[in-house]
Amino acid sequence: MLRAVVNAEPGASRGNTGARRPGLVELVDSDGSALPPRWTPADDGAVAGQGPVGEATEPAEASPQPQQLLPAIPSGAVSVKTNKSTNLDPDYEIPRGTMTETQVLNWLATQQQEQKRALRIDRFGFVVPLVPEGGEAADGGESRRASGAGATTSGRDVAAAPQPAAKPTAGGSKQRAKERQAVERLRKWRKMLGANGSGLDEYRRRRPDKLKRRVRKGIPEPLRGLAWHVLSGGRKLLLANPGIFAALSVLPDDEEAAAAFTAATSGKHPPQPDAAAAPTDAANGGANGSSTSGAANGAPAPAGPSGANGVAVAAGAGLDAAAVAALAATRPGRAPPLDPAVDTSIMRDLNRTYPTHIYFMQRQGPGQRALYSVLRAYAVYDSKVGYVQGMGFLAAVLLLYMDAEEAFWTLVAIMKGPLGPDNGEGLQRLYMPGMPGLQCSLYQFKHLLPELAPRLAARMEREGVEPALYATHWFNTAFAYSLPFPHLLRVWDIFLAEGQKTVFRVGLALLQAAERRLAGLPFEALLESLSAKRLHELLPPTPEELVKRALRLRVSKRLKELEADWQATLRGRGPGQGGRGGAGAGRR
Amino acid sequence: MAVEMQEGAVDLTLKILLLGDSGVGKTCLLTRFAHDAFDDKAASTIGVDFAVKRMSVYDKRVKLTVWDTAGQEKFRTLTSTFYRGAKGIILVYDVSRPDTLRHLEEQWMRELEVYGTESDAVRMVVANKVDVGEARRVSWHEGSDFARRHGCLFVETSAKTNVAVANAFEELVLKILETPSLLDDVGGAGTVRLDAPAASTVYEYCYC
Repeated sequence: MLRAVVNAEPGASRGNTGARRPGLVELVDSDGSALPPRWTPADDGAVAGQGPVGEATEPAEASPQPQQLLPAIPSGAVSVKTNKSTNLDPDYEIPRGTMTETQVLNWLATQQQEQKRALRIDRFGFVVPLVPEGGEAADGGESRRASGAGATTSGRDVAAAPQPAAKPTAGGSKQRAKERQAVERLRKWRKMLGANGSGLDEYRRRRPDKLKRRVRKGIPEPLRGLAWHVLSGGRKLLLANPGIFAALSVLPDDEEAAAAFTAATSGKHPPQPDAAAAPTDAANGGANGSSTSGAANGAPAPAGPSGANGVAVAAGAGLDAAAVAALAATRPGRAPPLDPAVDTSIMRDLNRTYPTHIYFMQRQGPGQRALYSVLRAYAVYDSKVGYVQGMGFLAAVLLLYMDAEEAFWTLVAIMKGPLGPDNGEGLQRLYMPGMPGLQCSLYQFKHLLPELAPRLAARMEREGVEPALYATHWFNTAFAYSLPFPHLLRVWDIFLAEGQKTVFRVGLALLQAAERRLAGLPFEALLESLSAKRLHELLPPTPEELVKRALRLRVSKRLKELEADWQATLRGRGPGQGGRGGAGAGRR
Repeated sequence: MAVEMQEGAVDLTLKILLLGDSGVGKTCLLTRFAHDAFDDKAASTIGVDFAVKRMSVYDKRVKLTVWDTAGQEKFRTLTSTFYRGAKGIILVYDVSRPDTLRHLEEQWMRELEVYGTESDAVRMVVANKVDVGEARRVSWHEGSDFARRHGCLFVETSAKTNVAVANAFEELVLKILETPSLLDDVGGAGTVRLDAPAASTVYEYCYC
């Protein structure tokens, strides 16, 4: 029951997180500290203890916070509602509000009491049990994902346990060498990136191999977000399309504020809701904000509402025709029209995307709100794709490292840029109606596996375990759904620089590494071992080893051949069938 | 009647499929059934997920493989390939969202007609989230009427407060065991596997 609500405006960029907008009410704890909008995860051990997350790792009960000053946040049960809504499903509500550090700690304390076990926040921002339980049963989603191989002492990982114990002998100097290396790496990356990443493209042109090597060694944590943004091509898009995200990301409940702003600044009456936007409003039943919504995104746009009806599109931006049309249909300062069904399907997943991450766990909190703005903007921008489950995880990982606008354009780059297969269509084919890209990827994977893990492939063939049964989310989320974060970050460094073949490599390396363990298993056990919840058990102990194994595999040529095969198979089945083939239907 | 079992030999393996719109609680039902837990921090299911549960019914040791599918419509081309050989189909809707029941009728039932391979497969309609109290929008009558019209079993459950979840699965299994045609066709699509020593055909997957 929060009385005051902050509109954690999603576009809050790195620079202005500290700047508070006038007129916003804010919840702060007694000493005035507020939870930073974004948790900056600490480095892979190298620059540990940088972010606030590193500090928060001790159990909350150790910090005698003034519990009664603010009501504790119940476990996601309370949605921060600003108005009486007739719709009782909180998933239909547009997220707003924020959470202070005290509230987070109080929330943790409540959780601990309820669950009768100590919790902590790991260095990536996931809420995890302090001591991992022996049993698998109640262990929820991401908790163990985040506790993969990092600083966490995973009680389950028996094999890895002796290693840390053996370290202290030579540990000291080794540790120092590692730190020196990290500092050196950071310096090199700073130089390479230049101001705001402007130097990286030039560097890539001049020394492509060197850049590739450096990326594969792992991007330094403090620069990861910027590097991802530039490497993927997202930054180029952002710079070429100023103001587009601002126009696309006006949320339906920001409209009122934007209209008020327009009225106040131009002396005109707020525009009437146009027909196109009406269904969207209806879908969000009564989610109109009562507070002074910080329409930071929409506010600049309606400066000159007299001229064009739609939002002006920057010339030479390289936008799709559909995106241009969507923008043209958008009144400045108003939420762009979106199919209500798509809108609600996005909302429904907000609370189910990294639900144990501190940034995303609060219903309608800043993380969910940022996620909503990015996904909604994308659905408007690319109406052919709209929203498909899985995209949320892509956006969420990006949002942990960059602001909403940067995340949006990076997502666009992933979907439409050069990261996809060579046909130049990007990864959007994975998400288009009928999921043609997914079908093709599963087909390719199915035929690559026997070449690299023949025993396991034979076993799977005999047991009827198709890639469609376990690898769908590997491709659809580029492993964001199932890899522990330490592994995921290294994989994404390479994924965002080298493209989708990285996903194949990692998937194949993973199965290759686990071949001995898996090859003797029957159908059910195979599927259980490969499920997202237990994937971490199959991984090589360190991210380094997974990456090394993955990069050893040569797949580009075979991927191309297999794609041609797949296309031929489709044609063989007759025209018009394209994309409708059975998943992983490697009929022989 | 139905008793939980530990590892060991089984007489039958039955494939059960969970269908229904996104967010109706398919994963939560499965988590409740398989692990007797409720996870309010569950992620969306992308693609398909599995759980295996053993039980003993009518002196038979039964192993259930429950396939938990993605609810989003976009995944239909993928999920429709999972229908093959399912002996039991659980159609889930959310009592606080009438549209989810409507979609069972308009979409999921049709999918089933097209892609289901076992014409006798036992179908069950599950009305989930009966714990929502006044947010409820679909009455027991509407749900049971729908189920009767389509010849389905009907159960109201709450995965959250553990209402009738195990009952639902047990009832489904009992009904399957009472349908001989489902148990005869071992050669079907490899979902009923007789792992008992007497049975020699174990791998029927190659028939595809």
